[in-house]
Amino acid sequence: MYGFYVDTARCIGCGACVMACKDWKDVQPGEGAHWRRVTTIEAGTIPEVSLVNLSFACMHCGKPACVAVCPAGAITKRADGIVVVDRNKCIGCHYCFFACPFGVPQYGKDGTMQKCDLCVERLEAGEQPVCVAACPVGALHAGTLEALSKLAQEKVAKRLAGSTQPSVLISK
Amino acid sequence: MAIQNTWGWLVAVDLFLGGLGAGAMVAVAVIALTTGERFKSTIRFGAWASAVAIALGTLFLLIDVGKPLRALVLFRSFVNFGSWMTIGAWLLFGAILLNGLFALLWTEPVLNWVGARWKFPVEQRKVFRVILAVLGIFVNLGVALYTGLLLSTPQFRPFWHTWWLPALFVASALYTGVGLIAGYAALREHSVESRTVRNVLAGCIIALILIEAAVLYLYISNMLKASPDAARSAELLTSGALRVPFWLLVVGLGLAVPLIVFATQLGGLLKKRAAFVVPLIGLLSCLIGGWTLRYLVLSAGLPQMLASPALEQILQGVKFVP
Repeated sequence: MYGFYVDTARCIGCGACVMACKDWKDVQPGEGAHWRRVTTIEAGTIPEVSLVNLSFACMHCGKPACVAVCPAGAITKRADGIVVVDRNKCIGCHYCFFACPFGVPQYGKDGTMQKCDLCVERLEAGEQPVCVAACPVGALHAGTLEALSKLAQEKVAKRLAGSTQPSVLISK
Repeated sequence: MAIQNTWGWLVAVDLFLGGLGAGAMVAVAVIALTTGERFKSTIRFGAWASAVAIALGTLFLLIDVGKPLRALVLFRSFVNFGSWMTIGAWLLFGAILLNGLFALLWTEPVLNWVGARWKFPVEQRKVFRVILAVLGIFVNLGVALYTGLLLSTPQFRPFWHTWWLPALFVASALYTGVGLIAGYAALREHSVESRTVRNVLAGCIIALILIEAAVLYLYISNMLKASPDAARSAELLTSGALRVPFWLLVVGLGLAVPLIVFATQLGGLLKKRAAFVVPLIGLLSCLIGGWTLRYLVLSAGLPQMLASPALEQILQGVKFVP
């Protein structure tokens, strides 16, 4: 099952992953869609404050809520675990947006849903997703959950919790 | 805080018209089954109104999606019946057909046209009317239920993910539908024998208003207690950014005004001149309240805050030592 591992101790919130994705995937500028996003999470009160950057795209869930609700059958979970949307089947009803707990589905001017597909075509060519390749500090990793767990062994990496079983590991 | 507006006023129109049409058809089907042909005018109006309302609602639903023409695939294929959007599309389709056929069977010129060309004896017409009325009750109740289940099935909008929402939408569908029929009957049926039916309808409306008021109260009060996320949404209606339309249009116009109107009709307190204006006010208030209820429930459907053990751990993570 393919997924992502985000090492938040390394993430500096530069947004290189965001831009690399938009560039590689030709996500149209100005339509407000960013397949990968970085959010900054603040916690605590002065003087003990924490600031954590989290880069996230699609969670490629084990039990994707989006697949369950799509009336056009446009979203499918592949055998390798990657959740992909067929934009030629999507009718733009937005039901997947309401089903997803992470707000992943986005819509551009053409009205269809668009989201991260783990750079399927790059994986098939033996390359890393473009966001992983673009990260200057090595905070982002992609692969099977087993391989990612091994990679994150030294850090305390936990799988993001949720009833949809997101395929994302996060460490601090 | 922002309100939910991905599914906005147009979706609210679809949900409202679907509910209104469903409720109206259930009302006239029951009237037809219990009183035969005595109130043809009301039954014919209600059947046509329900077919048109559901058809219009479906049209607005199609217009609102990103790819309207492609969305017609919903009526040509049988993909993913696990999704309430798929089930709903077929329920709407079925209701439009059923209600339309039922309406045709109550329209004299059509019956005469058919009767002039094919054998269509009166007994047969009665049988078809009964069959369609019974089928119509089930399918239209399905439509009323689907408008709520569409929202309540996804798990991550706490204000929607509760049985109270479909219960409220069914109550509202029956209320607005019966309200439309009762309003029409009050305005158009004037025979002495119709007074009983009009009073029964008025009594039904009052009961439905009280039921909807109770369900609405239980829904909101349960949401205020359920979780911080659910309370955030419910508070938008009771005291937050949406409080004016909620209290004024949903509770005031939607429930209180029609209650007064139909109670005065029942009490025989209406003088001749008021007998036209007052039921009309009651009907319009009921409909405005019905649409506004759908729109506000949609607008208050905020997503739950992401809080998972992994994220919690991160939040307690890095500390900056001064």
